[in-house]
Amino acid sequence: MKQIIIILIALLFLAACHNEEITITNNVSDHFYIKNGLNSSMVRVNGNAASKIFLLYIHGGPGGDGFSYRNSYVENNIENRYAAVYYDQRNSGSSQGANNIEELTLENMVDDIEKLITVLKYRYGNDIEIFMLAHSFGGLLSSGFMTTNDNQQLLKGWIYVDGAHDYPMNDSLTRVHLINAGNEQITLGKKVTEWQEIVDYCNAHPNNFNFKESMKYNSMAWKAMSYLKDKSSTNGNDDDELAIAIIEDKIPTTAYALNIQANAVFAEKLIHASYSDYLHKVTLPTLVIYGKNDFVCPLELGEALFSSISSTDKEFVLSDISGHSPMDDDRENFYNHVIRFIEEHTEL
Amino acid sequence: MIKNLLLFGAVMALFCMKANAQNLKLSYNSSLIYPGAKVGYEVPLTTKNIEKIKRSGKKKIFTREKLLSVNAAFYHHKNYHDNLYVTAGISFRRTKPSGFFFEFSPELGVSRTFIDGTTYTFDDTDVLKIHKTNGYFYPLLSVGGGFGYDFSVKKELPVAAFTKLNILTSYPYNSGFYLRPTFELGISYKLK
Repeated sequence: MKQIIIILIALLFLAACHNEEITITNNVSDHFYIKNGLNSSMVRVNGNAASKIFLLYIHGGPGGDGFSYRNSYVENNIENRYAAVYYDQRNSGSSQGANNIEELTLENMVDDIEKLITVLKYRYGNDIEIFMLAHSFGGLLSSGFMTTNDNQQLLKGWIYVDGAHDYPMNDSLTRVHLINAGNEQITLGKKVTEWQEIVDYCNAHPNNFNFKESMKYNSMAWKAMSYLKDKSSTNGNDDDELAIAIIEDKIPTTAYALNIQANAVFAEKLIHASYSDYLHKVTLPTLVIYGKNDFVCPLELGEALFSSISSTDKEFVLSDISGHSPMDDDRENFYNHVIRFIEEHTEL
Repeated sequence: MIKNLLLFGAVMALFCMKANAQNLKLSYNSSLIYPGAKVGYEVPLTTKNIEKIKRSGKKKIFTREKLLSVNAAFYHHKNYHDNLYVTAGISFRRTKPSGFFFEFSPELGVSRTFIDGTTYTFDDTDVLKIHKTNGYFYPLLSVGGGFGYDFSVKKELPVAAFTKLNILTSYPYNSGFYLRPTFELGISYKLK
C-alpha cells in the first residue's frame, strides 16, 4: 500500500506541475488562478485576446461569481471583439482557500484586483487596455479599487452597473422606492396584501438600519421587482445557461453554493460600507448604467455616484425596462452602450 | 490539528500491520462526474454472529462486524483541483447468511488539494512568480454507507464486491466548509 500511495502522490505532483503555454489569439479560452494570502481566485479569460482590449467583470454578491455573466449573447457580441475576463473574487465562485475568514476584507479584495491586473499584463502584454465592468456589490468593490492609490490609472474606463458604493444610502433609497411603489400598487389594487406588508415594514423601520433590517430591505427589493416583473423585459434563458455551464463542467457546483453561504458572514461586516467621501478622486472615463426598476440598488444611487466623481468624461444611461441587471433585462441595448463606450475610449 | 490527524493515521496503519485478518480494498472513486480511485485496508475489530427470533417465529441470522479501516483516495476535478486524501475510521458491517452486506463508515482524515491550473502569486516584495503544486491541506470527515456481496460466505472465494456513497466534509474551507459527494465501486480481497 505504501508504494501505491507514493505513486499516487507522484502522479498528483506531476499533474499539478503545469507549464502552461500562453497563446494570444482571437479565440482564447484560458483559466488560471491568483493566490493572495490564503485564497486562490479562479480567473477565466475568453474571447479575442489579440484585440488587446480586456473587459474585466467585477461580480456582485458578495459571494457571486464571474462566469455567470457569460452567455451566448456575450460570446457572440463581446468575446468576438474583446477578451472577457471572468474573475471570481476571494471566497466566491470557484475560488479555493484554507481557513481565511480573517482575510475576507474589502481592502484585501482591492489588493486582489491590483494583482489580477498585474497578471493580465504579464500574460497578455503590458500594452493591453482594461475596461472594468462592475455590477451590484462589484460597484462597492470597484469604488474601493478606484479610490485606492493610483489604481484607476491601470484602467481605460469604468463601467458601473447598478452598483452599491454606499450601503447605508442604498438601504434608505430602497426603502423610499418600496414605499412609493407599494402605495401606488395598493391604490391600483394590485397584490394589496403583499405590498401592504412591505409598506408597513418600511414605516416601522425608518432609519439607522441594522444588518437584519438591511437584509430584509434587500429581500423585499427582490420581492417587489418580482411583483412588478411584467414591466421588465428579461431574456429568460439564464437558468438554462447556468444549467449548461454546470453540465459542461465549467462550474464546481458545491463550491459555488457553499461560497455563497460563507459570504453571509462577510455581508454583515459591510453594513456601514461607503465610498461616497472618496469618489471625488475618480477621474477615469466612466459609463454609469442603471435599471429604472431596480429596487435593490435604486437609480438615485447611480446618480449620486455620477455627481460625486470628478471625471469630465462621464455618461449616465438609464434602461427603462431593466431591474437590477440591465445586462440581462435589456441585453442588446446594454452591450451596445458598453461597446460604444469601449470604442470611444480605446487607443488601439 | 493536521499533524495530530496524520499521527492518528500512522498509528492506525501500524495497528493494521499487526492485526490478523485483513482486507485490501480497491475501488473506482468518483466525485459526481470526476474520476478517481481509492485503496483501503481493513482489520476486523469485533465479529459477532447474531440470532434473533422475529415475532412471526422466524429466525433472523446475521454477522455484525466492526472493522478498523485506513484509506487513501483521490479524485480529479478538471480545471478545479485534484484532491488526495487519507482517512481512518470504523466500518459497521452487517452480513446476511446469503453473503449480502450493508455497512456504514464514519472516517476522519486529512486532504491535500492540488489546484488544476497555473497559479500566480506574489512574494513579499510584490514580485510575480508562478506557484507550482498550489493547494491546501484540510481536515476531513467522511461519512459513507453502502452495500455489497461477500463471495467468501457461500463459496471459497476471498473476494467481496461493494458500492458506497460517501460525503466528504472539509473544514475550515474558505469562510466555511466544503461538501463533496463521492461514489465508490470496488472489490475487497481477504489477505488472510
